[in-house]
This record gives sequence, structure tokens and C-alpha cells, in this order.
Amino acid sequence: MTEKINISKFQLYVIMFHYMLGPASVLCIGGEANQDAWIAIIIASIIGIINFSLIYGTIYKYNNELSFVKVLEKYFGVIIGKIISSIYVIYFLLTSVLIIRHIYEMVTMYLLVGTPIIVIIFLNLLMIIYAVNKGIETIARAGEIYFFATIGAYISFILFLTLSDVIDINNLFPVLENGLKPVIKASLPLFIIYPFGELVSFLYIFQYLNKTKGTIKTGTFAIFSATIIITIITILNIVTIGVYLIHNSAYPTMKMIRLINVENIIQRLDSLAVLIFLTSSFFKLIIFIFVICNSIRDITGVKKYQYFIIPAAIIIGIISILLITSYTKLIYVTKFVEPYVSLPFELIIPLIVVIIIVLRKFLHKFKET
Amino acid sequence: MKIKYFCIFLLPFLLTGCWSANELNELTLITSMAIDKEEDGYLVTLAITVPSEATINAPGRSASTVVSSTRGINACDAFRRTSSKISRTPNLSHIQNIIISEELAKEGILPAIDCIIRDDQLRPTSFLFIAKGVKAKDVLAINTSIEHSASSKISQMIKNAEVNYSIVNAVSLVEFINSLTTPDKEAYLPGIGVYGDLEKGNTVDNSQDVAPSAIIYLAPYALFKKDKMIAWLDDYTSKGVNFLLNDVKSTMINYQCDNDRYFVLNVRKAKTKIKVNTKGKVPKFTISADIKGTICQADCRLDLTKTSKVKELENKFQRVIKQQLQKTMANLQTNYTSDVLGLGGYIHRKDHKLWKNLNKDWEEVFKNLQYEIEVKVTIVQPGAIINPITNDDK
Amino acid sequence: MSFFNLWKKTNKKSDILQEYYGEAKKLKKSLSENIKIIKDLLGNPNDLIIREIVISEKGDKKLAVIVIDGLTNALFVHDFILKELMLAIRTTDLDDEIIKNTKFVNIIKNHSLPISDIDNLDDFKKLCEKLLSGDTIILFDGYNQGLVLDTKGWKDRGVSEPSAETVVRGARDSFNETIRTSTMLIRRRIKDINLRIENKIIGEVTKTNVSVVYIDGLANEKIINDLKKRLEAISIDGILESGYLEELLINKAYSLFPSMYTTERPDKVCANLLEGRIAILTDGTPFVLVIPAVFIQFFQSTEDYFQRSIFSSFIRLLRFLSFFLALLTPAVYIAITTFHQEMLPTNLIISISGQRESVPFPALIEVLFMELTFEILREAGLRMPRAIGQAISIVGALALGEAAVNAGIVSTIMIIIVSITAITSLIFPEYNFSNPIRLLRFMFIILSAAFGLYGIALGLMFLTMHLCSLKSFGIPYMYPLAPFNFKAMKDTFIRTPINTQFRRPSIFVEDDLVKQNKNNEVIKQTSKKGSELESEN
Repeated sequence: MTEKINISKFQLYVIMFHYMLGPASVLCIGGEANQDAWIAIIIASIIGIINFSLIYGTIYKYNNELSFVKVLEKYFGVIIGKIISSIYVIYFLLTSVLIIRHIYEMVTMYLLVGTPIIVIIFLNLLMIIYAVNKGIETIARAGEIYFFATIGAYISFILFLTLSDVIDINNLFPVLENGLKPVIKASLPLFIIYPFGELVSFLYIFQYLNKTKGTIKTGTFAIFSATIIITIITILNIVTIGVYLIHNSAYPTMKMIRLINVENIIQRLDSLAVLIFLTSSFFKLIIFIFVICNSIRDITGVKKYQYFIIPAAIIIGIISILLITSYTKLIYVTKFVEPYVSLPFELIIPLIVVIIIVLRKFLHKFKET
Repeated sequence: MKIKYFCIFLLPFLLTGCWSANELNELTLITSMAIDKEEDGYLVTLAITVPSEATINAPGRSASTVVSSTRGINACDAFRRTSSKISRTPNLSHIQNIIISEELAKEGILPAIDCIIRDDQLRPTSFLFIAKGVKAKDVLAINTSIEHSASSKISQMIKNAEVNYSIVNAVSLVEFINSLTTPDKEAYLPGIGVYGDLEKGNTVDNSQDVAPSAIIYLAPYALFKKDKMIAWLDDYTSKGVNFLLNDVKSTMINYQCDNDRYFVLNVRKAKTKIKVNTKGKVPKFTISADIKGTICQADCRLDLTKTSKVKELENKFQRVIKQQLQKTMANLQTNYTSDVLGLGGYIHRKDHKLWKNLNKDWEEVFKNLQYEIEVKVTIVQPGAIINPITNDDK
Repeated sequence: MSFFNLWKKTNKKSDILQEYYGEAKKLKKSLSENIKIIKDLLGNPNDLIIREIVISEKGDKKLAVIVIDGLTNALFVHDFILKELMLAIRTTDLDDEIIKNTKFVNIIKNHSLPISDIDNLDDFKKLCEKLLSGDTIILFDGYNQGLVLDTKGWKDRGVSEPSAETVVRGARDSFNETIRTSTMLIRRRIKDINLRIENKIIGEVTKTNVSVVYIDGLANEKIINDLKKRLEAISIDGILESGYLEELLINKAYSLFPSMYTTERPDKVCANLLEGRIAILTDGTPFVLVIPAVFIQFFQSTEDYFQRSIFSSFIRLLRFLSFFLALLTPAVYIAITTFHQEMLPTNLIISISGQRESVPFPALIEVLFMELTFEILREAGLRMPRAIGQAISIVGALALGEAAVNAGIVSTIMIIIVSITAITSLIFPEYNFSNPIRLLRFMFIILSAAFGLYGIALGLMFLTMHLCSLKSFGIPYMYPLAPFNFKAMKDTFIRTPINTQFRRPSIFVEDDLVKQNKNNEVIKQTSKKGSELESEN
């Protein structure tokens, strides 16, 4: 395509929104903080916003047109930069594996009980290959269409829940029963993984924006809105199914949706709801694979990123089938392994880049004077 | 172009698909489930709908629901063994009621409940009942008129009772699990029983008779302590519990004004608030009930056109209700020592530090809880006529 | 293409063609020679009329009036050409001097032919083209020049009511097969000097007139240039309908969705021109192409603007609902009855399963059977001779109705579902648009039979991605949904009153954005005052 790829600010907002909701909205994250899970999410999002606007914001401010691969090459030198970028690619691959595995678990649990994993993952990857192949513009546009559908769905779920007479506000109290400590403990892994830290992949996407101004503001606003949605969902989870079932359910939000029963007519929406949650996860996965292919293109210098889609998809598919063998393992990896693995990628390396930027600027000024 | 080849790849998957597909005429819809405990295991009974008999155009010759009971060493085992008795795959997603036998409830309900809640087809909004006086499986076997099956009768009946009588309220699976797992309240379940001849009750004739030989009825609450059922309440206490739980939608209150003569209040709106004062050494509860209603029967002479007389009557009702609530509380405290009202939760939410101290010997504290009951009754309407009908002028 | 080759082959043998036609050979001086060549070129068909008139007193000089019978307005040729020529010859003294004068042709052209469109010609190629498109040719003895007179006039259908797009309120005229009538109908509605009608002849054999119509200053230059370039690049033997152009002009010929809007209503074309779109008129068909087309456009009818806005909005929302119903109803039926039985209320599922008891087939077969039967009936209903329509509809009603249910082939609910899809797919103002829905419905049916709602969700995702990747002449197909444009929402799902719509859609229009002056506020205020006065009276 000879035309320059352009995505608008609203489109960026929309894909960031989907990206953050991803599987996070179904997992009812922050459950470790019991009835204070929603506070944990808000704390996590504040840290997430700071992380995003300060660290990623600074990187973006000084490197408007560059993808993160080029940024790394710029500051670490070509070879080291490429090596780090390659590790990033592996990291993104692994994260994608987790997402696709969550999609599989949700589908087999709520939609197609007993369908072989390979079929579901294959179908899913097929759709994602098609989407990534069409490019970021198409993805962003589809994101816009699904944005309104998603918002509409969330609003109707909230409405139906309130109409179903299952809400018990008492579940929310007492607030901060055991003090702030467990809350912060729950929010610490959160801000790194779901959903706010993973925004590092957008450093690869910002280059396609049609305007450089206001990007970080848009991103912050996206984090803010995603936080609102996730907080509402978490609160609803607490007041409907209660803390015990949140701890004890594979996907608490789905359990919550099952409670919907409006006059015995609108009921058992879980099969529909899982689709809404899946769409957001699809978008997250699409973005990840897009970023993976783009980074490989930038690292290798090949012209079209499209060459790498199918290999990447196949690798993700194979790993997700072979590496993670059960739901228990998946939850273990998501909750206890991923946060520590992602720390360097989402915080430390960007932080080093920022430090280098600041130092260079300082040196530059120093030289001038 | 690449995409097209992928579509071709897709084809074999489509053709070999349908792993989890079940045609409607290959499965049976199960509308209710009953679990009994027997000496050597569990007895699971499924109420299976016969679709061709349950539709409007059905000839009505045979029963629209058949019951199938199977024994097993545990609930899940028993459930799976049913498949050796029925021709189609059972579909649990439409189970509306789960009936648990009294013996099982008394021994501990957990082993039966885990199997149910773990199953992903089952809806967490299905209602739980304890069979009173009969085996759980017998309840499902009663043939009913109006509704096409016992299970749909039960689920309609509990709704009707909730709205019009309020002695018991439906308890859904998720509510029950929450009360079971939360440390600051105890669980309760409505009871269900059968009047009449069980043998005749399960024939098709039962639904065709003008006066059925057997009929299902709702019984008052069964109280739990942890996962074990401890006692049945009577109607009077059960209604009191419902008042205290703020679950009364509409019911009636009797005030005996004379020998065999009553004033009956039709409660239209009832709101109970429980507040706790944790400032003192022992938490003190204030229970305030605000009840609005109309008169549905008046047998004694009273000039209801005068506000003072109406006030008088209101006060009388207040006393009756207060007495009922007090008796209920006393019963709960001394006879059953079961905190079904979740009073512990009130303390927990108000002052979690205090709750931590009380939590250890909550039973003892609960026995000696102090409370105050305030009842306010407002008669908003006397009904279609104002004064009681009398024949004094004759 | 094979047709084209055949045509070339058979004519290669003809030497005359190569001699006179191939390289724009000039006319000869001798009239008889010219006539002979023309006769040879055209194969001396019986509708070729050559009327020779003697012009010199001696009778040796002649002129010839050449027409193709049927393509010309015969009365016109008699009254204004033959009669005038003969009168002129009789009344004026045509001596040899004048005839020999080279200006003779011009004298005839300028003084004695009361015809508006008249032109000179001097080669055989142009002569044949003009002759075959219905013009009259006059050739003179002794001159290697001729005259072309526009006397086109053939039996055409006349302006009739549109057959494919009917409205209750609105104009009743439609385009017909003659391009001149079509341009007339547009001109009659838009009397602006900026209305451009640019002609192009496409098709090496058919030589079809294709007009590009737009309003200069409103339409996007880039799109116009792009369109012209694409039209220029077309090389085909014939254009028989605008559908040929539609497929030739777009990049993605494999997409199911129409990337051009087809209409036979002049008012629709004019409305689109005013929005900055471009119309392509093709001779020989009443269907006009409008570009660029967007997805939303297919949900809008001209009548939306003639009715009260609230009602129009309701109708539009109904169309969107119908779109999903038409697309998904059978698929969702399969998904729910075979995968997600828990979604339906208990009583309904019992009732459905009671109906399904007697049906031996899986839901997929049942649905496919009914849908295919319906599609076949629909196609048969379109193609069959009118006279047997009654029979087909009776058979159709029987096949789709009671009989199938009683025979235990399908369940009653299936009939309802097929009826819903049938009715809802007919609601769209543009007939073409129901075609992708009809096909995609089958895709969704198969997907849902294999994967339930998951299949449907994946299918919808595929569909959305596909729709979002489409572009019609550089305009994203899903505009104004994606890229989202809030201002355009006034006229998308709903239609706000016309006095709230001040701007043209910015994505098509280049600079003249304001379509309505805000001065209308004045009208509002005065009308308010007026109503006060009325109430006082």
C-alpha cells in the first residue's frame, strides 16, 4: 500500500480500551484483596497512568516517528538494541500464548464444552491472521465498531443485573478490613500485568498516529475509562456473587452474568457475554501479533510484516497447546509467573531508556553551556 | 489470496465439527433434581420432561414429566449412573429446583452441593429446597394440574408465596453458597412437602382429578448451622424471620380482638432495618420495622372512620408484630442459636475489629445479644368498605 | 473476450475494413464510390437507407442522405432534412458555380438545415460510428466532406415508474435505457452551472456511451481523477449494463458487498450528487452507478427525507435490526438449539423440543433445506414467465408451509425463522444489498452448526474486519462508523430534521461544506412570531 498508514486519536483510544479490557474484565482481577478488590484496581490504575504518562510518555515524546525497536537501537546501539527487541518479541509471544489460552478456556468452559483445543485455537488464529494481515487501519476501524457494541453490552449487563434483584451492597463492606496492606499487595502485580503495564506494546503502534499531539492524553483517558469499566465489573462481582465465589470461580464475571434473570425471559446470557469478553481479548491478541510481526520486520529489515504473521501464529498456537496443559497451570502462570517476567519489559527497560534520554539531554545542555 | 487457501483449510474443521453439539431431540431437559441420602450412598432423582407431552398440542394421555432415580456412592456417581436408565443425554441447564432430603441436610449438605455448583451447565439461580416429611424424590413424583410438571409448579409456587404470603422466600444456589461460606451468617432453606397419598399422587389421574389425591406445599424454613440442618421453624417463626430479613413483600397479621374474632392486617409494604451500636462493650441492635397495610378482615366493632380508633388498631397490630419478632429472636437465640439473620455481618461491617474479637465465640455472644424492637404500623386503607359489617340494628 | 476475438477474425478477411476503416481513411470525392464503400463496410444491411437527391439542373450532381432505419427519427429526417434540402434546391438557383464552390457544404450546413446539432466529417470511421448511433449523414458528390446531423430518435421505453425501487411519497420517474433521457432527468432537477456531464465511449464493439456526472466544486477532485483514470484503462469489447463497469472499476471484485450504489431513481442520484458523490450513467440501462458508496448508504432510502424525521429514524433503526435478523436468525437458531439450550426460557425450549420431536433431521439439515427451498423459489419467482406466477406461489406456499410441517420434514418454528429471514432481507431500499446477506447467511449457518455462538462471533469478526478493510474509491466503506464521525451521526442510524443538518458529509465534499445557511434560524423565529399572531387572532 502506498498510502501512509494513519490512525486517528479516537481509534487509538478504542484499541487501547479493548486491549486493556482483554481477559482482565472476566478474570475479576485483584480478587486477593477480597471486598476491596476495586480499591486495588484503582490503585493499580493510578500507578499504571503514572507509568504510562511518565515513562512511555517520555519515550514517545522524544521519538515520535520511531517504533520501539528503532528507539532501542537508537539508545543502545544497533546490535544490543536488536537483541533486546528480539527478547521483547519472545516476551510478546509468551503473553499472547496466555491470552489465547484464556480464550480457549473460556470457550470450552462456556460455549463449546469438549471441543478439542486445536480446533478452537486454530479458528481463533485464523481470524487473527486475517485481521493482522489487513493492517492496523482495519484493526482500528473494526475496533471502533466493536467499541460501541461492547459499551452497549456492558451497560445492558449492568442494567439486567440491577433488574435481576441479585445485588447485595452489604458484600462491599467493611471497607479496608485488614488495612491497606493486602490491597496494595494485590494491586502490585496488577499494575504490571493486567491490564495497565502491558501497554508497552503501544510504543510500537504510536508511530502510526496521524497527529503526534495529545497521544499520551488520549492513552491516559483510555486507561481511565478502562479502569472505570473494570472497577464497575469488580464491584458488581463483589455485590452479586460474593467474595467466596470470586476466589473460587474460574471466571467470576461469567458466574455473575449467569445470575441475570429478568422475569424469566432474559436469562442465561453467559454464552452471549462470553462473546463480548472474547472480542476484547481478540483485539488484544491482534495487537500483540501485529506488534510481534512489526518488530520482526524492523529487526530484520524486511519490507512487509505480513510474511511473519503465519509463522508467529503457528508458534503461538503450538506453545499454547504444548506448554500450558491445564487451567490450574494457566492461572498459576498468569498470577505468579507473568508479573515477575514482565517487570523488566514493562518497567525496567523503558525506565533505562528514559534515564538515557534524560542523561543525554542533560549532557547536551551541559555541552552547550 | 492467502486467505482463500486458509478458507480451504477451514473446510475439514467445519465438516468434522460439532463436538459439543446436541440436537434437541437427542437430549432430555431436566427441570428438577432431588438428592436423597441412603444407607449406602446417594439417590439422585431427575425430573425429565417429555417434550411431546409438555407442549400445548399434546394429547395429555401420559405424564409430561417422568422421574428417574439412581443410586450411587456419591452424588456425582449417582447422577452419571442415570444415563444407564434414560435414552438421551441429560441437559442440566434448565434445572429450576434442587430438592435435598432432610436426612442428607442433617448430615451435612456440602458433599451434595459441591457436585451441583461445580457443574457448569447448572444455573446458580436455581432454587434449593429441603424435603419435609417425605423423601426428596417423592416431591418430584407428584403429578400436578395447571402447571405441566411438579418442577414448574414448585418454581411458580415459591414465587407466588413470596409475593402473597411471605412465610418463606426462595433461596437460590448462589445465595445459599454465600451464606454457607460467609463466617458472619448462617444459611436457611425453605422446606417442601406433600399432603396426601404419595402412591396416588404420581399417577396421571392426579392431575386430572378435581380434588387431587396428593399436592405439594411449601413448608417453613429449615435452619442450618454450618452445612448441617438443625431444625424446622414453624409458620409463626418463619414469618418472623422473613420480617427480620426484610424479605416480606405481602402477608397478613392476625390480631385476636375477641374469642374467635379477628382483625386481619394485609401487609402491603414492610421494611425492616437493623442497626447495630458497637460503642458499648456488647453490641446492641435496634430492629425497626415499618409496616404499611390495609385491613382485610374486621370482625369486632370499631369505628374506623375515626382516626383515633384507627390509631388504636395500629397500636394493637404493632404489639402483635413486636411480639412475633421478639419470639422469633428469642427462638433463634436460645433454641437454635443460629444466626440466619446475619447479625454477625452487621457487626462485621460496622466495626471489623470488634468482630474479630467476637468471631471466636460468636455463638455465645449471639445467645446473649441485646436488641430493641420498634414496630410502626400504618393502615393506609380500610379496604373497600370502612366499618365492620354488623347486624346490631336488626 | 472470445467474442471479441471472433469478431476480429471474421473481419480480417475484409480488405475494405483495413483500407477504409482501420486507419481513419478519408472520404473519397466521388459520391458513388463513397456509397459503395459504406455499403461494403456495413455489409449492405436492409436497414441502411441511402436517399440520393439530384442537386444540379443537369442531374449529374447528387447528394446522398444516409440513415439507419429505426435509429433515427424518420419524421424528423423527412421534415427537416429531406424537405428542407429539396426546397432549398428547388428555390435557389444552384448552378455549377455554387456547387463547385468548396463552401457549398458550409452553405447547406449553415443556411438550409434547421437542425441544432450539426457537424462536418471527413473520414469513414467517424461516419460509420455516427451513422450507427442514429445520426444522419449527408454526403455530396464531388466533395470529400460530409455532414453529420443529430437525428437520433428511436423507440424507447419512455420515463416510467421505477420498478425496483418504489416509494410511497416521492418522485415517480425513473431512468430509462437512453442516456439522453437520464441526463435530462438529472438536469431537470439540478439547474446549476457546475453540473458536469462528461462523456466517454467504452466498449470496442458496443461503443457504449458512458457519462460521468458530478457537481464541480462539490465532488472530490481526487475521486474524479481516479475514476477517469480507471475508466480510461478499461478495454473491453462491450458494456451491456452498468454491472460490467461496476466490476471493472473496483479493486476487490471478490467482495460480496457492493462498492457502488446502483439506482434507477433520478432523485436519489441528485441527492447523492449534492452530497458530493459522482454518478456514472451507462447507455442501455436504467441503472446508474453512484460512487463512492458506503455501507450505511444501503440502509437509507430517499423517502427517509420526505417523511417526518422521527418516523424516518424509526424506519432506519428497523432496517439495521432487519440486517442482523436476516443475517443471523437461522444461525442463531441452530446455535441455540444445538449448543446453548440454556439460553432460552424453559417453557420455550420445551415447546421447541416438542415440535422438533417428530423431525428426524439435525437442525442444520432442516435449516439448509428450508433456506435453499426458499432461495430457489425466490429465484424461480424472478425468472419465470409472469403467466405461471400463480402456480409457483401456490406451490411455494405449500412447500414452505403446512405440508412440510405435517410431513415431519421441518418443525413449525423453522417456518417462522425462514419467513423472518425472507421478509427482513427484502426491506433494504437497494435490492443489491440483500444478495451478500443471503449468501453470508449460509456461511453463518455452517459456522454456527459447527461451532455454535463461537462460530457466529468469529464470523462476525471476520465480516467486520472485511467490511472495515474495504474502500470505495479511497473512502472507507464503514464511514461514518469507522472511522467514527460524530457529526455524521445526525444522518446515520437516525435522521434528524433537515433544519439541523447544516453540513455536507466532509469525507466526500472538498470545500463547499455548508449545505444550509444558519439563516434558517430567522425563518424559525418568524414562524414563531407568526404562530403567536395566529393565536392572537
